[in-house]
Amino acid sequence: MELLESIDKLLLTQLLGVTDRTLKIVVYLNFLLIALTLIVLVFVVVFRVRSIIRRRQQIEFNKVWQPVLEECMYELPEMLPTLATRDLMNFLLLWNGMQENIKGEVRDNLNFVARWLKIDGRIKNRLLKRGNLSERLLAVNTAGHMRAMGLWGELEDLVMENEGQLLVMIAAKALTRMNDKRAASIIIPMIAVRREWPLPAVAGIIKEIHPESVAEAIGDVIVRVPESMVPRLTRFLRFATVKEALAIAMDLMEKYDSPDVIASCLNVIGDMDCGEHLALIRSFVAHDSWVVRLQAVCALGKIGTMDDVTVVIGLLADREWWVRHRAARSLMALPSVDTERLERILEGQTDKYAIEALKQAMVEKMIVGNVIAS
Amino acid sequence: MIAIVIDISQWIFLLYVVGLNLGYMALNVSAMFSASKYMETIEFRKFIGMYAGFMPPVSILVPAYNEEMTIETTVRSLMQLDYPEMEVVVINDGSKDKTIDKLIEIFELYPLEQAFRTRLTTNTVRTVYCSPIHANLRVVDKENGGKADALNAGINISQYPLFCCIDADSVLERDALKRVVMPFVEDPLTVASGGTVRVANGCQVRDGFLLNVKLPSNLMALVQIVEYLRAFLFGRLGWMPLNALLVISGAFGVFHKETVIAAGAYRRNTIGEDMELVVRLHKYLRSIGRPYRITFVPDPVCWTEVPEDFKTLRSQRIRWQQGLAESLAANLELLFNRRGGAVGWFAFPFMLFFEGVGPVIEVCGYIIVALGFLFDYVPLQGMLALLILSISLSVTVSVVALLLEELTFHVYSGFKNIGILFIVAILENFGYRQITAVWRVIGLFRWATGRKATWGNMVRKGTWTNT
Repeated sequence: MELLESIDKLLLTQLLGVTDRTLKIVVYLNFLLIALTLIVLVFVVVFRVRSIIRRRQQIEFNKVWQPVLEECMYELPEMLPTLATRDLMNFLLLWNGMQENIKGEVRDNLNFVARWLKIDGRIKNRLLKRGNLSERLLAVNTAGHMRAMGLWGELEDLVMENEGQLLVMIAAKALTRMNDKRAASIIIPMIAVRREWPLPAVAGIIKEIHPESVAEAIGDVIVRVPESMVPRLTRFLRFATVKEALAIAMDLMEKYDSPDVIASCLNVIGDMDCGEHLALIRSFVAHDSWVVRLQAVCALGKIGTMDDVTVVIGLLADREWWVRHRAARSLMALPSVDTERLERILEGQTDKYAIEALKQAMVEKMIVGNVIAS
Repeated sequence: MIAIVIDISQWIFLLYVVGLNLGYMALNVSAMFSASKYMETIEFRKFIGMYAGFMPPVSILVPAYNEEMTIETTVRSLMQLDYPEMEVVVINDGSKDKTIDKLIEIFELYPLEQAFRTRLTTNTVRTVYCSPIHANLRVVDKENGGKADALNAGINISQYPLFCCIDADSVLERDALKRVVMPFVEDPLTVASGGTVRVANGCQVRDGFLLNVKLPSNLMALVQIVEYLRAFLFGRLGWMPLNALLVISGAFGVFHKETVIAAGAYRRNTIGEDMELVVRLHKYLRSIGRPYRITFVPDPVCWTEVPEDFKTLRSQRIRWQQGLAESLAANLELLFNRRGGAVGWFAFPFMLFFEGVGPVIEVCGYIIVALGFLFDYVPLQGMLALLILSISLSVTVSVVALLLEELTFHVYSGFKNIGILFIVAILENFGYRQITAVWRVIGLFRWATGRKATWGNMVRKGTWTNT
C-alpha cells in the first residue's frame, strides 16, 4: 500500500503533475493497458518461436521416418529407429497421412510397423483416454487402420456416447475397418435415431461395409423404426446388394403410402433395377405428390424403354418445375431419342413450360458435347 | 453550463471507448476458445477424406461491374478450385468497361437460348453465355441493377442447392471452397457459412494461384491488414459460438439457396446486401422457429484487393457504413425481440450502438474534447489522458488480434512482419482511425438522407493478379 502511495506521489503527482482523482484512474488504466499490450506481444513472439521449433522438429522427424516408412511399404524391415514418446504425434500424423493415400497390401506393411512399435498400446493409454481432441482423432483413426481389435470397446463407446460429431464419425469408420459386419449392426440402427449425423459422412462410412452386411442390417432395422425414419434409412440401400435392396424397397412400398417413403424407394429402384419393376414405376408418374412424380420420371430416365417416351413427354408440361426439368433430362436419356427426334418433339410442343424445360436440357447437353469435342 | 455539457460529453466518449473495447476484448476471449477448438482438428482434417464424393454441389456466383482488370484471374482461379462438383456463374451487371467483351474473348463464350426458373425478380437478363472450354461456366449479361440484383439473377440461373458468392476481384485458395462448405456437410442445420477475407495487396498471384504471401508496401493497405485481422478473426470467431454472426462477407460466403429464397433473397437497392441478408436470415428463421446455424470457418481464405488511395477508401467506408445502417434499420424488429436469442439481445445491440451509432459519438467526442481544450474547459492533461486511453485500448485490441492470428494460421511469416503489423496497429490511431470515423458519419448521413445505393467505384490496380 505504501509502495503504491509512493508511486502515486512520485510518478503521477510530481512527474506528470496529475492531481485529479478521475485523471489518475485514467492514467493507471493506461499503464495497465500498456503492460497488457506488452505481455500479449511477448506471447505473440513466444508462440511464433514455439511454432518454428515445432515445425523444425517435425521436419527433422520426417527426414528420418518418411524414408523408413516408404521403404517399409515394399519390404519389411529388420530394424526400425527408436520412436521417442515426444515423437508419437509426429509419427501418427505421418503414418496416417500415408495410410489415407495408399491401398491394398502396402497398408498391411505399415500396420506391421505400427504393431512392431506397439502403437496400439501407446495410443490407448496416452491418447485415447487422456488426449485432447486432435490426439484422440488421430488415435481412433490409427486404431481403425491397424484393425486393433483390442480397442474395439473404446471405439464403440465413443460411437454410443456421441462425444462430438467428428470423433463419432471417425470412430464409426474405424469400427468398419476392423470388422464391417459387426460395425454395421452397431452403426446402421443408429442412423435412423441420430438425426444430427451428417448423411454424407455416414454414406462415406457405409460404403466401406460389405453390401450383404448393409442389406442385412438395414433389413433388420427398417421394419422396426417409425415411418418417418424410413426414408433416412432407405437412402443407404444403394450400398446394399441389389437383390436384397430391391426386395426391401418393394416391401416398403407395399407397407407404406407416404410420398416420402415411396419417393425414396423409387429412387433406389431407379438406381438399382434393370427394368424388372418398370410397370410399377410407370404407375407413379401421375401420383398426386410431385416428389413421387419426380422420382418416377428420374427412374424412367435411368431404366426406361422406348415405350416410356410418350409418358415422359407428357411430364414436360407438369405443374411442378422440378418434374418438368427432370422429365426433359430423362427424355434425352431414353433409348432412340436422338437430337433429330428431340427437335421434332420440341416442335410438337405447345405448352410454354414444356418448351422451356426441353430447350434448357438440350442446351445443357450441347454444352457438355461441345466441351468434350473441343 | 458549457462546462457541464463538455463534462458529460467527455464521460459519454470515455464510456463509449471503454465499452467498445471491452466488448472487443470479450469477443477476443470468445474467439480464442473457438479458434483453439477449430485448430485441434485442423491437422487431422488435412488428410482425412471423410466426405470425398459426398460434398454437395455448389454454384459460385460472381457479380461483376467494371471488373475488366481482374475478372480473368478470378474466373481462372475459380476454375481451378479443388471441388468435386461446381458451376461458376459470372453476372455482368451492365458494366461500362469491357468486362463482358473480355470474358467472351478469353473463354470463347457463345450465347445460348436457355430457360431458367425466374424465382426472383431482377432487371432484364440480356443474354446467357456458355463456354466451349469450361462446361461449368456461364456468364449472364444483364442490365445494371446493383450487386444485389446481380446476385439474385445468379441465384435464378444457378442449378445447385448451395451457392457461394465471390467478389470479382478476389482469389480463392485452392481448397477454400471445400473448407467453407464443410459446415453444411457436418451439420444439416447450417444455412450460411463464411470464410476469411485477407488482403491481397503485396501478395504474388499467378494464373489465379496465390504464390507468395507478403505484406504490401503501401501504408494504407497495411493498416487494412490489421483491420481485416480484427474483423475476421475475433469479429467473426467471437460471435460464432453464440450463433450470433451478423456478417458474412459478400466477398466469400456460402448459402443454402432455398432458405435464402424463402427469406426473400438479396434485397435490391441495398448497399450492404451481404450483411442485410444475414441479419434477415436470422430474423426470418427465428420468427418461424426453425433451428439453424450461421457459421464462420477461419481457414478457407479469399484474397482480395483493398484500396490504396484515400478517394477509393473513403468511398468504400462510406458505402460500408451506409450498408450497415440499412441492414440494421431494415431488421430492427430483431432488436431485443422475445425470440431474438443471442442475436437480438447481444449481437444486434452491439452492432447498432458501437458500429452503427458509435462513429457519431467518436467524432463528436474528438470535436468536443478539442474545443473544450481550446476554450480552457478541458485541461491538457485530461485531453491527453483520454486520447492515450483511447489509443491504448485500440492498440491492445489489435495486438490481441495479432495473438489470435499467431495462435491460428500465422500467414505472415517472419518476426519482421510481426513487428511491422505491431507498429501499424499503433500508427493507425494517429489520423487513420479518426478519418475513417468521419467517413462513417458521412455514411450514416447518406443513409439518413436516403441516398441511393450504387456499385462502389473501386480503383483496381490489379498488380497482384499476375505477378
